[in-house]
Amino acid sequence: VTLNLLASSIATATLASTAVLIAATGELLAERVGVFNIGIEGSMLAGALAGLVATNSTGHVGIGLLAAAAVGMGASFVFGLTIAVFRANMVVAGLAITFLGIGLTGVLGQDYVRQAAEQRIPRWNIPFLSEIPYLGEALFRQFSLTYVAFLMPFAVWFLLYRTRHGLNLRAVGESPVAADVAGIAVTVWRLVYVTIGGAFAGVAGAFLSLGQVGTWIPGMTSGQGFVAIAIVIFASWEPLFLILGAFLFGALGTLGNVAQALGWGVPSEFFSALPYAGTLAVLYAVTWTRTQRAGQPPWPAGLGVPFFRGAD
Amino acid sequence: VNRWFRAIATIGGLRLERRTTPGGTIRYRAGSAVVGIVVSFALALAFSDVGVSEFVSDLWDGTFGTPEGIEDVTTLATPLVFLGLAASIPLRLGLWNVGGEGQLFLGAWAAAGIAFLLPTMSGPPLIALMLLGALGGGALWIAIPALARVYLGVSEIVGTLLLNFVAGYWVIYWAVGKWRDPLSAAGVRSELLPDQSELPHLHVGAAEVPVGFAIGVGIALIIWLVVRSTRTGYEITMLGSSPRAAHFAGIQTRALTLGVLFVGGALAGAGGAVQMVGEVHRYGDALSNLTGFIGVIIAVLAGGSEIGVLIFAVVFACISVGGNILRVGGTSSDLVFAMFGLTLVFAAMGQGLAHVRVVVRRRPREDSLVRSARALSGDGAGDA
Repeated sequence: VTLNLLASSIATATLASTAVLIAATGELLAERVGVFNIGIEGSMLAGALAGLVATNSTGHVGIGLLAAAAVGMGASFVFGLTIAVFRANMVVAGLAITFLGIGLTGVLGQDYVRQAAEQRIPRWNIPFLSEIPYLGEALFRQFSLTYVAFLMPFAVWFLLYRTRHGLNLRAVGESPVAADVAGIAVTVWRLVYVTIGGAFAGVAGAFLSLGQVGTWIPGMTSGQGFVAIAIVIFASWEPLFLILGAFLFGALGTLGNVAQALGWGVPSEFFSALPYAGTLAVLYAVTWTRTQRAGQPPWPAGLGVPFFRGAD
Repeated sequence: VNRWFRAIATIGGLRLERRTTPGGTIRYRAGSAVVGIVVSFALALAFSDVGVSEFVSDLWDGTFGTPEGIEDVTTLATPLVFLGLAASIPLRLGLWNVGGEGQLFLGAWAAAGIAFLLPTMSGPPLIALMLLGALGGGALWIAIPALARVYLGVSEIVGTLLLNFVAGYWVIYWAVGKWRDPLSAAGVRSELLPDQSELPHLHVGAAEVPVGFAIGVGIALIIWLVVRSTRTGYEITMLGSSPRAAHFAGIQTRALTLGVLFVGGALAGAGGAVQMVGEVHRYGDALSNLTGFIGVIIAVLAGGSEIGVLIFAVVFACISVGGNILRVGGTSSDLVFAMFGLTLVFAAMGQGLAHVRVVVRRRPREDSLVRSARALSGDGAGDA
């Protein structure tokens, strides 16, 4: 019984960490070119609604995901324009996008509230692996997008550390002035990667409305975009650690089910709050041990620093 | 890209010039906020059945045209003043308190706890005690992100943001569990607070203004005076504009940073308690609808000025009234949030634009030295 519970809990945790992991991967790309985007919460909401609307009006979940990516990109492109071209403060612009996301999805999505997705993201049982006792149930009977989400950090790692493109990308985030002198168009790079990050956020939102939950509910992201930001910091901006952070968030979220199954008698609100509080606590603990060892945490040196040629 | 910008600007006969120091910031901020508000109302009107003239007269009646309107606006503005200050004071040091929502609920929780523990105490001392408790509750809720910011260097943004969601479940636990209203099962709301904890209204002419609004205005003025004319205020200004200089001047930067954040959290908590004793009279999720985040927007638009917070709190209350008149979409609050977001986008761009100036093209006589220097650097006027 305990092994069954463990297997189903891991399965739920993997499911619950998917959206956060996708959003965090996108946020990591943006932060690695030096842009701190708290607007991804808004992009996620926009993606969740757009994904459901597009799926239900065309009947194809693939088109829904594409629409979610496009809308997420659009929202983040507006964010990118305001910060990179109009020189707006990143926190202000991010907050504005989040508010726009909450407000516009509330207004435009009123007819879609609790409407079920006509086609869900397909589940995919991996041949052979899904037949392994317990382990198969835990890891290999997920939504197809979940596998992509867990592979994506590896792709980003390869991009960042094994390609010239990735070297340039990191340079833009670490030292925009040096990158500019080396002939990299910093503003364009920032705009492009913030927009790509928005596509991730949009798809992350659509994973909720087309997969994990399967309907549109206003405010359904419930802060997962903000959690993604915390996970990026937890991961010290290293793509592979994102998997760990996201899984931790998912696992903390499933503890409530475990507690119910085992009859622990702790109020359910405690377990609902645990993913947020626990992620934060682990973030602080990790940073504390790291500062004990190495001083400052290794964030991209240009993170949050606006870049305009000749502004210094 | 820069070349394109320059080309477009040249065709328009306009030129963008970089300012060495941002100029006319207040003008740009206020101007762009006004543009944002007008644009968002225009968009909302376009999707609404309400006609323009009808809307304008309804808006006037609903805000300043009638005593009821004045009462509505001041009532809506009251929590916004507190939450605006809660974000605005840390912003003087460049710190972002985006956890006002959670601090508000924790402050109100402490106040409600005091009221339920001392149900027989007479009104004025009880309310005073509740407000003190709320200050403590709010300060406590910001303590962890504040300490992490000062001692670990972790951005206060993440901590204050995530604790909002923890506070949300804290509200549910108390309002649905311990303090449940035995008469109504629906909604996240506690039983009524003791009668004597109700904050009265002031009579200003024909209008009734909540006492909480007067308290908020008073606090804003006090903080404004403190920052203007005390040693601590001077140190805050110095630390905000030049942390290095402040450090070398021997200012206790850590203590000051913590203090400023605690004051922010405490004021958010007080805002929650004032909203509870003034309006809602229960503990529950009706105490706030993203008020903490709206406070951040107000603080940004006010640009670190307490007087600005007062002004924009009233402006945003008027926008809420306007949104209620239009009622596009599912709930009127959704429309208002979209309008706030759009206003903030414009305001953010306006703040950035304060760094450049648009001038009608008047080609200055360039001597050869300037021309060759410009050709060498490849840098010019138009690269926005």
